[in-house]
Amino acid sequence: MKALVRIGLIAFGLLALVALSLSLSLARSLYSQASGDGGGRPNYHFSLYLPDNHNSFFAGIIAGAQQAASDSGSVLSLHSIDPYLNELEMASYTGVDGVVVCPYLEDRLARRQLERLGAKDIPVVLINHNVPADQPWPYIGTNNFDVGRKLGTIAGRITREPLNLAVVYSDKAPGIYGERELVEMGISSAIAGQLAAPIIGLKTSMNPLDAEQMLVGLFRTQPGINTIIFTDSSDTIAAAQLLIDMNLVGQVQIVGFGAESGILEYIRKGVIAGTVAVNPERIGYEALMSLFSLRSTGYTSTSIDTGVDIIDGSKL
Amino acid sequence: MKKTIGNSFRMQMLLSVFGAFIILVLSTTYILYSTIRLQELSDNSFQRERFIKSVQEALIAYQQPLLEYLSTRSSNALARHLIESQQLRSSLPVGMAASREPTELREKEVYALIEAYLDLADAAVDEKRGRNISGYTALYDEMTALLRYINVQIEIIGTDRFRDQIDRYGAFIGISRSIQSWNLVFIVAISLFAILLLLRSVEKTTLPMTRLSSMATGISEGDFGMDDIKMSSIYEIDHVVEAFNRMKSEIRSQIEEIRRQENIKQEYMQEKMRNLKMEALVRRMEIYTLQAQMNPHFLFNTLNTGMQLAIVEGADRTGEYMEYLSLLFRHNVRNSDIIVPLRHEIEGLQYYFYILKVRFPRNLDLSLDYADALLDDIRVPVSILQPLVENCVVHAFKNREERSSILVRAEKRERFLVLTVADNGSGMDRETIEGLLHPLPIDASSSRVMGLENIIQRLYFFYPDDPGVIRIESSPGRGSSIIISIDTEREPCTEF
Repeated sequence: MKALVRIGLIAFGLLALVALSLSLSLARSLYSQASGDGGGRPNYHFSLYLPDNHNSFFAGIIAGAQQAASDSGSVLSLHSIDPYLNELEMASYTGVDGVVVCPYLEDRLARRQLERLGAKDIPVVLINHNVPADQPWPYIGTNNFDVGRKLGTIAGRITREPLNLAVVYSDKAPGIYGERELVEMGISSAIAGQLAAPIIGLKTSMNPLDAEQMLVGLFRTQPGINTIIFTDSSDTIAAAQLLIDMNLVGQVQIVGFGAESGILEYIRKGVIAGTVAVNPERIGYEALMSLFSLRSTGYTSTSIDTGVDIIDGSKL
Repeated sequence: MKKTIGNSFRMQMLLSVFGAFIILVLSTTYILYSTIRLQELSDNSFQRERFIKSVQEALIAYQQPLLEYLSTRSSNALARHLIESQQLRSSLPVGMAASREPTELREKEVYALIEAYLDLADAAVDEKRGRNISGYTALYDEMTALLRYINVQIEIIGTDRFRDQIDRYGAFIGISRSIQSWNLVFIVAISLFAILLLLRSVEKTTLPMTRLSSMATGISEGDFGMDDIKMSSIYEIDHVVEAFNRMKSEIRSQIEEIRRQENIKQEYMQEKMRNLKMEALVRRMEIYTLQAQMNPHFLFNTLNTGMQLAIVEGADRTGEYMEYLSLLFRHNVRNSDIIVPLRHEIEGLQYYFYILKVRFPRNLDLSLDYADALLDDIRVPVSILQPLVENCVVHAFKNREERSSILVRAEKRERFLVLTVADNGSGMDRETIEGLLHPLPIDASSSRVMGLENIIQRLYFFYPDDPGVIRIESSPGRGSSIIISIDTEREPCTEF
């Protein structure tokens, strides 16, 4: 009896302790989840204004910016730059410590909003698209002339024959569309002697399937087109599938944009001649780090070129 | 044990009862506290939403006095505007830190937007006071756009928070259930623990009393060999236990002393009785000896007369026989010593052998083997050999036709004198041997102890510490050997 009581005391005492410990541990995890306080007080609060577009390019920029925010001990809020949401218009009232903007809007409108921010002494860094202004806002991104030159280089490598070239811009890549003149100048500089006709400029909407319809129309109206350059990855993939469906592989060459796995697979199969790849993560990362430097030291580089790479069959 | 507050019976009872009670109260308090905290957590997620909604409502209500003042420049409206502006500002969180949660970050931005809105409102009021119509009109437009944006943001926050709450609700419910399950296990286990603690305390208090009761029963039945009752660390009980243990020990030791004295007395009485019996035996033996001496003297004188008559009549062989018979009687009668030299025994045996040879000239061989050197050096109890030979003649050769022989040998083996009387007679079985070697006690035996039994008893008497002084090697039909081993370095015991 005495031994049983002693064993019972030890057993139930231990069981009570274990149950209490687990209960406390679970309650603590629940409280910490509810308080949501993980990682101390942030240094700065920055905002990133991007087009309301969820393609991989902007997803890469967001990922890079969030990584930089984490590295610099800052927090990042994401906003749409689309005018109808009025978010950039109100940015100067949000009390943020700095703003990264991808200003694909009309330059005048973008400039006005950026100047409002400047008037409140809120640091601004531009990405992917520059805005001509008296005020030298730091710029992070690719040089679109360079992008055009590399697109032209790929097109020039396909054949020595004269090229009937079309360039497809897109609302999904507003930065390139905003500087389309620079892009075409770059293309021309690379294949000036091969162009059989002036470059035909086309544009797709935000619809990722828009490229198919646009190409069908192009082949009907411009049967002499033998090379098409794309400036958006979704359009590139849609166009490659259309070429296969219309049995035009080899007759029409595609120069793509982006390094998605689908595009690389088409390059391996010879459907796409080559592609240019930018590094959106690096753009986002460098933009936020520039903003952090600007906020913490007052200085940063005027511009950072994040570079463009050519990917063709020889590199895969 | 010294009495303190801690080891008193009352305090122990209070501690055990209140200890169990406090454990239960504390554990129940914890359960209640954790349940309240879970409810608070659940409520917190709605509280922030309620707060921002209240701010939004206050902001909307704030429009009316502002617009009234901007329209009418009414001092009442201005006062209401100032009061409500102040109330709105004071209700906003001060120095809200940036959070890593997107919704909270947006909330922080909304509070900054509201601050900006109030600043714009103040600026518009100032412009109104300064009658700058275009200024306060433009500011009002800006404020309207900002207010719309704030409302949109608050709606977004509400939506995001609702989605977030839906996401978290599942996890919250899961963890809450786990917490409540573990709390149930905890309260059950701690309740059982408290009950067992109480039981242990009760047992600790009552066990010595139970043992006291059983010990009292045992003592009343005369059992004083029980172990002492262990102490319980409760002063009052230990006091009783200690007194009881001491009482039991004292009674036991007194009883043991009485028993010891009784035993001594009994042993003394037994010793005295044995001595009395021994003395009686000795007296009886002395009487027998005297009787034996009286009769042999008459026979001795008669034999002498017979011997002289045989010489006179020329019967030489009869005369020689009578002479040896006379020598044997003289030898037996004249010596009154208890312990004699071995020579005395050998001489007597030689006389006896002569007589036996005359009695049994044809069918009895008698041999006597000894070393002369032993005869004077070693002393033995008187009359131990002749009765043994006589015993052989009387008992060993009954109903036998073969030639009989008796061998008597005296030899020295280390420090022992070994006397052997061997015959080739009918032998004895084991029961007979055992009966001879382990005779009945003196008081139970017959007073007529003769022959072999007499020798055995006498040898045990003279050598009480040596049970092997005599042994018998015999079996039915194979003769008998009676072997006497006398330690020559030890004196025989001749005192009672």
